[in-house]
Amino acid sequence: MAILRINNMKKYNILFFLFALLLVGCEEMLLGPEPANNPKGNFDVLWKTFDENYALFTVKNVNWDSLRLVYGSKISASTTSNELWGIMTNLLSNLNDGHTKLFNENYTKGFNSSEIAKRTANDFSLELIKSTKLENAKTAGSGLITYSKIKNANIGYIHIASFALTGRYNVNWAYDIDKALADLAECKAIIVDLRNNGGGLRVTGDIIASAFVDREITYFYQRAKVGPGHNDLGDKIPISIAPREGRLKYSKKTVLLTNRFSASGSEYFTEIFKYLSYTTQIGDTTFGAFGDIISVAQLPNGWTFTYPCRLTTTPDGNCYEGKGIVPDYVIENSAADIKSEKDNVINFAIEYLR
Amino acid sequence: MYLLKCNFTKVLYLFILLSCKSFAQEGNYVGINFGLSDFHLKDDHASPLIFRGIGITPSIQFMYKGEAAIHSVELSYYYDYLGSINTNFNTNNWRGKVKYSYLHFIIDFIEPNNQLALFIGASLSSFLSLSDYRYIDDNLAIESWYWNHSINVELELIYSFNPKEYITAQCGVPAISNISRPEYSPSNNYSYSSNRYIVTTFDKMMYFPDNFFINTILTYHTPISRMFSLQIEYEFFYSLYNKPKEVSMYMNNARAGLFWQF
Repeated sequence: MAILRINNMKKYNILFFLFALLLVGCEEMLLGPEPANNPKGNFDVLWKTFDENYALFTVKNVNWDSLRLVYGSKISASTTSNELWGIMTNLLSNLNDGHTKLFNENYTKGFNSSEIAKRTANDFSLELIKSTKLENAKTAGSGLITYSKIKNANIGYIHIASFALTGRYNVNWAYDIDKALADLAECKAIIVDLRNNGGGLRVTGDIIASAFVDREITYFYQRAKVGPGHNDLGDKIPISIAPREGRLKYSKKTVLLTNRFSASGSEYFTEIFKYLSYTTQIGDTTFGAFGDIISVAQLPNGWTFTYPCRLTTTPDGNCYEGKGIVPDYVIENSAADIKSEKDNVINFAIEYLR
Repeated sequence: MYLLKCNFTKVLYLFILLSCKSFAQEGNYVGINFGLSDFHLKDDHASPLIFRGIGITPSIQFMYKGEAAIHSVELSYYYDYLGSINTNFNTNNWRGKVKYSYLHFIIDFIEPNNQLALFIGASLSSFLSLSDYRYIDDNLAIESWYWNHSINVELELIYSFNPKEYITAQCGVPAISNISRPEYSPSNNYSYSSNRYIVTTFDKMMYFPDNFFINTILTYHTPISRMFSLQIEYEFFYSLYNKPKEVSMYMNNARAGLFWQF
């Protein structure tokens, strides 16, 4: 009996020893340190994530290292959450990037790095156009597309409010744009209005644009971030568009209307139209947000931020980031124009197409 | 009444034990295990934070034990809902492992009964860890994965208390791997139309120690009848890989299962 007890003891000791030997539970030793959830820790994560992942440093005139010193020096252990928010948004403002945003912990407060984004969009009113210019406004695409014939002119009008992700709004973009164009088939010319269209997914813009192009066009090249250095950008990735299969070749005279709030996906769409001989851009310069593939990142305090990780340039190397695409005819509205029910941009476009 | 129930259970257990016949190590075994997995993940591709949680881990094993060799096939699945230091950030994590190993008897120790035996061999394994970090809205998400297909060096010690009851300690490290990870930033394996990464099965060939992981399994086998045995298992897995951004993870898994000998 005593021998049996010793054997059991030995057995359990061996089991316990092997278990203890292998149960290496020290998280920090195995995975490395986790960033501290304090003002400095959060600032450092934000700065470092941009430093290693932001793809547009080569076209932004900023010294990111200096900015770390400038804004990092304002942080102490007693920095409040509101103060940290202010310091971080001031840091990001230097990038003037429409895709660079900071969100607080409940996503109730957001910050856009772009100076243009902070302006109020008051130089355009779809309601004004509907009430004064359109014969009988119809909608498609869950209300994101508004179209009609222009009063007293054989010109069609299509306003696209967003290039939102297909499925999110239960939109079949190809079907909806085809239906709008079919309903306007009798019109001799079309106005495509992208004013206040803040963008969305580039592929959505491509689906719509594929109804207007007459050939395959490589309209941009992109370079993805491939390493932590500011110049670590990969090979050129061609961004192309082609007519959708089965469609009749489109060659109608077309005017594209833009303003400063035609951003991101709208600007990709605009650039496509620059390649078409039968299209003209009228209005204000576009927003200037050309970073692509927007990544989202986390801060230890629960805030998140976004940044683009692809640089977009034209085939000849020009980058519109922070500049926007200048129209063929620069026509602007003021807030007072809209208030007095006057839309100079569409008036010019109608006269241009008559 | 309670005492009666306890006594009945003891009598039943004793009856089962007494009815057991000799448990030979040699033979074929098929087993099903189920247990809990304590998982810790730090993946710089998705977040600087460490994600951790306890989930489930079923597994199926087949073993052939001969006099001088052990063949085994293992399929394991792990699921954890991982949290971080901030309640805003969580992720679903799915892991799977398929492994075939061959172990050859080398030497035994501890006279007079040769209770400790050493086996050395190799294994082929494929281990995938896939996480889906999702926040703000469904359009903004980061997926990340670590998929290591490897040829591993394996070592196993078997300590037999008696022919029926034994413990094993098996340890494997990879020699050659093919490892798939997301690219540094979304490019070739990113689908713009679905706004998601496409998990690629194969990517870079890596060699020890750049493909490092260690997988250690401790088991305790004891027979419960002539045909069935009970296995209690502890598994420790740790991996570290730094391309294109560092990912490290470890898990402690505890399982119990039933094996059928045939």
